[in-house]
Amino acid sequence: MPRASAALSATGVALAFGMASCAFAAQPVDFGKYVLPVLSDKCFHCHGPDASSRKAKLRLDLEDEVRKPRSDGTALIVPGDAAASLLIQRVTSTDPDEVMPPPDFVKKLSPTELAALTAWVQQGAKWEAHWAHQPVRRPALPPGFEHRHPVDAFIDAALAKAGLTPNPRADAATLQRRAALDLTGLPPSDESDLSDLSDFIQKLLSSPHYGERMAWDWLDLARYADSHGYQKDNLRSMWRWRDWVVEAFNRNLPFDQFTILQLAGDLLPQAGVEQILSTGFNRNHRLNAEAGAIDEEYRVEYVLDRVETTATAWMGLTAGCARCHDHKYDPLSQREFFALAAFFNNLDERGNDGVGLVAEPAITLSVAGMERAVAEAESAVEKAVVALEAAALSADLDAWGAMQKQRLETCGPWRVLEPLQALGQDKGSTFTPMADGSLLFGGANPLNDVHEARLTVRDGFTLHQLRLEALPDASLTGGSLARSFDGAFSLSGLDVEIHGAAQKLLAFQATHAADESPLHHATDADPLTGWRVPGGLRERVRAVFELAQPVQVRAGSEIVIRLRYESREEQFIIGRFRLSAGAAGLKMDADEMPQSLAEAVRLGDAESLRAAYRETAPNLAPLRAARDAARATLADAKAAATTQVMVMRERPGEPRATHVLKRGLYDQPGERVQADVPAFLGLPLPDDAPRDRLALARWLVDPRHPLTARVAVNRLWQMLFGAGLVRTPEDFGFQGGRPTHPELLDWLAAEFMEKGWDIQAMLRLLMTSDTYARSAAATPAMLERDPENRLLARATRFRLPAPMLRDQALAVSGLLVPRLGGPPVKPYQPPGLWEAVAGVNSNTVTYIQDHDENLRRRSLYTLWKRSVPPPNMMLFDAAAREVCSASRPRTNSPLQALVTLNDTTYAEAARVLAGRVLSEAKDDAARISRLWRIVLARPPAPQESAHLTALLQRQLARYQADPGLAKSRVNIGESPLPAHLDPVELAAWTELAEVMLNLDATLTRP
Amino acid sequence: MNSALHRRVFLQQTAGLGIGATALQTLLHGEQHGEQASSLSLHHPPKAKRIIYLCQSGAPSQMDLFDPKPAMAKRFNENLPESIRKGQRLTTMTSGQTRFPVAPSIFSFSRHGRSGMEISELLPHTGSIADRICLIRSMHTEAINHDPAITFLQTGFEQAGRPSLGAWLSYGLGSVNADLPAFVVMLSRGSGRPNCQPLYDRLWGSGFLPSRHQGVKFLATGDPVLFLQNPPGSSLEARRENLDSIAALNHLEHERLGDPETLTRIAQYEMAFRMQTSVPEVTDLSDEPESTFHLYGEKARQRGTYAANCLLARRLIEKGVRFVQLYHMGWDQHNALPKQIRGQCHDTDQPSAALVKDLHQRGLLEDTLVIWAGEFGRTIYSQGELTADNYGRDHHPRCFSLWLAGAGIKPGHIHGSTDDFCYNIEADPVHIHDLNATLLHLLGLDHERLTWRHQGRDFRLTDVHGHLVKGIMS
Repeated sequence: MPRASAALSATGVALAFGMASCAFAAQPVDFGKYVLPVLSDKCFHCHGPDASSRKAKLRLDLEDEVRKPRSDGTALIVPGDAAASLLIQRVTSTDPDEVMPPPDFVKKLSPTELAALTAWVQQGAKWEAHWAHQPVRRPALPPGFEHRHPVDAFIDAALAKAGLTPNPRADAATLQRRAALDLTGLPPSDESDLSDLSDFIQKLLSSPHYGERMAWDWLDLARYADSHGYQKDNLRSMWRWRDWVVEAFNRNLPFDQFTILQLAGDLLPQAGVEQILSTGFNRNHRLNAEAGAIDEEYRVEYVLDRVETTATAWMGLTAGCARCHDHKYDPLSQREFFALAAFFNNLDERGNDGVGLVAEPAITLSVAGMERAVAEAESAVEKAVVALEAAALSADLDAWGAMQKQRLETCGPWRVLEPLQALGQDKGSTFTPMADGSLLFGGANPLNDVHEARLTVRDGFTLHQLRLEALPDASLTGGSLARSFDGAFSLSGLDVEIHGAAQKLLAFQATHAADESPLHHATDADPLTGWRVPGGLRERVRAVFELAQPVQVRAGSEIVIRLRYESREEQFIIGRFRLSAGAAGLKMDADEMPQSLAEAVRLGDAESLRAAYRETAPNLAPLRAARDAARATLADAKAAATTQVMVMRERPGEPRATHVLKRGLYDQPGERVQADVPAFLGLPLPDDAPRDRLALARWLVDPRHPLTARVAVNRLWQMLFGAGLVRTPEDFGFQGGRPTHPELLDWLAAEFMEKGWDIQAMLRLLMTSDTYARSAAATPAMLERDPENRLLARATRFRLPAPMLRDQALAVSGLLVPRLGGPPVKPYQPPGLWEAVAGVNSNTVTYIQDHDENLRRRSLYTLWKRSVPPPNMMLFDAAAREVCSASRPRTNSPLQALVTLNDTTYAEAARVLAGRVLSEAKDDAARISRLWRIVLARPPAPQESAHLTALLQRQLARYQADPGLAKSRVNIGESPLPAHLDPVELAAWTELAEVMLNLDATLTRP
Repeated sequence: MNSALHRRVFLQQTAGLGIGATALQTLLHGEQHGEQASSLSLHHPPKAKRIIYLCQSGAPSQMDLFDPKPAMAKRFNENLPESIRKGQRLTTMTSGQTRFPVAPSIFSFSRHGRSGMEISELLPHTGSIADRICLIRSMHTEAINHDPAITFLQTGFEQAGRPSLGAWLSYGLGSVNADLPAFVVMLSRGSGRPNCQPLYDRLWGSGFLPSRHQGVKFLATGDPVLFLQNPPGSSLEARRENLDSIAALNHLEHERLGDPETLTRIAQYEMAFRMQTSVPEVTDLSDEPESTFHLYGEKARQRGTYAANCLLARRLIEKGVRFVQLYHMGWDQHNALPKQIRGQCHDTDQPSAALVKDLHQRGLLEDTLVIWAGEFGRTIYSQGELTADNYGRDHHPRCFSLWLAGAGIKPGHIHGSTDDFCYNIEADPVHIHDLNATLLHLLGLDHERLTWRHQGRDFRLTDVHGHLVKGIMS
């Protein structure tokens, strides 16, 4: 800042003094509360930690710099003399060339802020470092409150100071619902004992659903999802890591261990499967697979994502701000940001690797409890095989063989050309022979391709016609005919070579063809035109081609057939095809005889005939189907018996060099850096420790670390009280919120560490306070005085988070399947959402909804596709899981009302809840009471009950007058309709249940 | 409850859905989990009150549509000179090519209107509105792949997590219709390349802004808005009774606990009920005269087409929706460009031009801004085989074209130019941040002052960049 000019406005200073005297004169100005945030927000942008944007070589974030005498003899701050302090002169100047911040800067100082700065200087300009960067020290309980519960001591002392009276305790039913939702994300079951809250809390902490509830918030931080994100957004397999998180909370793994395992479990001595599995935390970032993407660009992106996520989750540090330049507000340099990146930069990983279920490094784990399923499936296969063999043994093979011989010798059926082998131009493509002689196309799915199929003929025949069939398969788009976006294919050419000579083909007949794409487009010379079928077909498609000249095919000769897909209709490739040879004049839909059967008939020996009979006889079809189904089940069970998870694993040998990236760009490497922790926390790594992730993790949970425990405890507070003591859980820096109760936060952080980072003990401590148990009732005076409830004279009500809303509806209706863990599930979702945005080459083009139990699992297990997350969650402010999220705003919108009123999930829950109430209580009054109690864990007040009774009468009258409407009203969802219930009655009660599920009380944590 | 508080509650209930956000923001400042104040009011008088954004996903080829390069004809199949490429990075789809053969456009250009704007034969209808649009030929962007590039175009940042343009506007401006969302999104699939680049919900997401600012999809199948229809058998009358009961019981709850959010919820349920009527009304095209379908084309009768979405966009802004965002997929012509681009142009040319004409006829173009834009451009060199009548083009972020029309935009004007190879910008470069800054400016918002505090930083749509493009403003 240049020398103060004579134009300094004395009136400006006087004005500030005047304000200082009224607002701040009475008591000392709290530097951390009123001064530092102003310096940070209004001054640091040009006079802060970022050296590159620093003006006039002046920084205001360090005490020494602020106090340093200036070369021209002036002083920024003269303690006790605001008028002589350059800082005050400049901020109060009315000269546009002098005033700070300068007129073209977006931010201005408010009069209150001017007054605070002035009063602070006038009172002696005492400096304090940023609160969150000071070591945690346990403060004494406030005087006069020493004998209270520690939470209440701090909260009530502040209330007393503010002259507010805390609310009385809420009633037992409310407390029970509050505690159950907070700790398990589920409403209390009605057999719960109401007598002792503390016992009840212990019971909730012991519930396996506790881990599920705790996991949700952690998954938001960990940006967990079941798809890779970015352009392709293919499915990924990380659910076993998600289950590990649930298990870790359920066995109350101390937070320091929880930290070390997730950041560096693989580096622990004798790291076993669990230690490695837990490091999945830092592989939950998105993975790109866009064609043309540059590997290094995205590899770097993943490394930096790990830094940002780790810094936010453990330190409330907005490290990402230091990617392109030094942090503007917090004392984190760009160099230090990349020194942190060096911890995460040593994996054997690629940037463009988001195609398969996992990208290396990954591990394969066996899935507990699957051994029995595999054994059962094996024995089922054995039984099915024996049954089929036995049936084949009892057949009269001579008669059957004679019949087949005749069938073959007369005009004959289509002779299926098999066994066929095929190759694509892309070597990653696979062709699996199927039992019916067809080939199933899998693996790499290039845009255009030529599939070359080959077959050696064992017995000769005359080839007049060739039939090509496209068969639907579950592995193809929406169970259709191809792996293209809509399941259509387009065949641009068909070559047949026999005895090395190309045969001329004529298009004859096809069962299907799209407009302007008839069959002869496959036989014309133009590769850009093709025989195309409409999208979405799930039936067998047949086409017959005639040979211009019939060919006598000799036994032992080779037939080569090329299916050309060159019309630039990308991925319009038949997914499962079968080829058959036919005699002249054979009808397109005549039956077919496998080549193997023809072969067996020619050989004529008993063994060949029996095998052919077993595999082809129509009367054995059910037994064959049973065997094939058993085999498929076995294959599924074997597949489900293992799962893969991406993990952290160091590269062998010399660690990869890490450089500062200029402007944060992957292709602009600057100075090389070694792994290290930021200096501003005053806690260097031990000299003797290797600079690896394990050292970093241990550093984070060092009791001298100022941030980790504060950040963790603040999140637990947020979970129970609706907002953190620090209201910006993602930012404990200069720009973040100040704690509403700084001493309480420190007391809790100290307690947390001293009690061994015991999460359950901390939750129990918080929940056994009077503060937690207060009634939420707010008088207008309280709202006026403390609208945000910062002082906690009352409990904070807040709308339930997205997953809890759905889980609650499932739980109260009795639909909920409480089983823990396992692969993600696909419950109800409005049709067309994935399809509408789907693109080339993704395996998440079509949403195929699950059934039965998978519709009713907890929301934690709902498949999370990043580019189209579940809409009934996103409308309720769920985090998108693309990047780390420590808190979400809570909104209240009309679209939310449409979800809980109309979404099949909720509508079905209402109907099932109605059925439950009808079955569980006898008369209307008892049923209304029961309904209310199930949903809100309390009996209805007389007025409430009267209201529902009146509504019931009106709705009953409606459905009695129109029983057809009643039938349609209760026909919702896939859960069976109880036959013993009268649809009219059930429909009316469904309306009541809908009302209950949509009450503000129901949607809100009480 | 005193009147001031009551007013705040009322405003919270209607936040973004009925009241210009101006007064609201002051009152909501500092709410615990509600809104942060975006700005105290509009920063200056707006030229535009609403936007229709016609996003052409996949990156349309500028030299085949808007930026004629006749000099290329003589250079057919010549290798792109290094003096032009200057070592700039390529995608890994073509970085391995041994040659970069120049592929001149096979489409002819002609001059249109009094302005004489040159536009490709592929876009005759766009040619007919040449005197109403401003064509920018000097756009440039950062990313070279679709996902980060379209994310950048729509959110001002390559990586996920930031609010979209529409979300910023919903937050900054609110809505003028209580019964419709402030920000509507519609998708269509191109017939030129149906198997195309995907889209992502984040493109119209709210990022770190509250979720009610996210774009509301008007869908091509099923309910026009998610969960709009009552469950089967749930009649309007039965629902009305339920809503009355919910409101009555919620009032009892409010008497007991005094939570202002309870009153908000009552209001939101009423609004939801009104939307159940207003959305089907606005999406029902049966009241449109035949002349509408002459203008937009017969495809406009078919739900989910680009043409139908253009027509619906006009109907929505007539009802007060602030921001209508269309996405038309399929512009990624890596091969068979001549074949595919014809299909894309057939889908979009007439309806886009019809929309501008329609708005003009209705007097709405004066304060409505229309933007036609993709996420980047394409290369002059052919990706894959080059023949006399076939070529493909790879991604090119160094230059591309887009057009704007309407409020505050200079009509019949061309801004910026590129070199003969359509590879580098020669004059007046416009970055995405500049475009976004200008869009906000036209809406009365200063892009440096429309901010949201997140992770300690005041985030902006334009990050720390963006300059107004004065040359395109009237």
